[in-house]
Amino acid sequence: MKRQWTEEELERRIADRLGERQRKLNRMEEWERPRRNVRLWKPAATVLALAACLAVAVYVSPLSGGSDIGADYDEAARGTGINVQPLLREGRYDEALGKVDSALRVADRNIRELNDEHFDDEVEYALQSEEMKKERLQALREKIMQKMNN
Amino acid sequence: MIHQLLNRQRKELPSDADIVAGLQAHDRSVEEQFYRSAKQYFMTHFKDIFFDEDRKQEIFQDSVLRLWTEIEDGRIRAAGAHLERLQASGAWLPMTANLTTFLMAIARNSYREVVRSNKEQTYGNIFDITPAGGAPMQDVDDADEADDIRIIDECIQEMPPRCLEILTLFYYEGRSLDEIMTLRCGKNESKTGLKTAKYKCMQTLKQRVMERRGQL
Repeated sequence: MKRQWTEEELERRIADRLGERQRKLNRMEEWERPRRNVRLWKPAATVLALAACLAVAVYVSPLSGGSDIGADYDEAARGTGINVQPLLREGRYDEALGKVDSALRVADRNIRELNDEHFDDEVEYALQSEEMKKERLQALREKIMQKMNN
Repeated sequence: MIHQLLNRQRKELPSDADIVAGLQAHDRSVEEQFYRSAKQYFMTHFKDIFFDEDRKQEIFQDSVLRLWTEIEDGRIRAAGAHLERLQASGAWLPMTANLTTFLMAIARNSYREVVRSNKEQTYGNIFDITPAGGAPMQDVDDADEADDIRIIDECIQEMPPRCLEILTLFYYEGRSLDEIMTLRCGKNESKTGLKTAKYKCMQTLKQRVMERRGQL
């Protein structure tokens, strides 16, 4: 038979193990850091290469000519829960952006509310879905902004 | 040429049994080597699976943390050149996968959790053969400190990330609710909501630990 723990003892033991977990996470972060500094040129080179590829892609893409943007926007809007493709196809970017921003505000509010809920599988699932939706909305927003700036 | 290089690299790496012994002895160089080699393997083999780098890194670190904790708590041990894993029944069974493969199974499982593919099996039964009708852990474990640590670690690992974040900030780092509100960048609607979440997370964690210790 195990010795009974008091509430305080249990809390202290949990805090200790949470601390141990955090220390491991901190060490992993430490191991990531030197590599990032030493090989700073590598991500920089990757970013430059990606930027160059993106520039070429934009230049040769049908998007830049505005001839066939449907498939691209369908993909970008997937999983966001809003239908902005018709607006985008018609070039009504401001309206589309307004719709995205409004959906982002709703997602933010939902995330905050879910974070305050008592957690269970259902809430966790809803929270993750909402966070993924928010990520997709942000990506869609960036895409629209890029198009507006071109 | 590449094969020669890979073979040479493999020869320089410690064996799984060495890694387990090193992690259990809290050997810092083994810990770092374990992390770095796991990262290299993970980034090579999981290159195209994740849709963003942050999530990939998060899943990788969470998986390393789980495996590291499991080894450190003595739920995986070296038996000669092979590894054994403690089953829920209290029996030790040989692991049919090496540590890297096992880590990848944990990562796959975490990834599946993220995308909510509920029909997938958990990593715990991918590589181990668990005898049918095994007794619950508290029936066979001795009431010693190591078992208690294992129980708490297991319960912690089963908690949602946001609970762990709140509990760590409050109970380990000693942050106030106001500070946590700021650190969590408005993820909580109100201080009352955060307070409730913190209370419920801790109550659930305590209850799970007590249940597994046979204290309830």
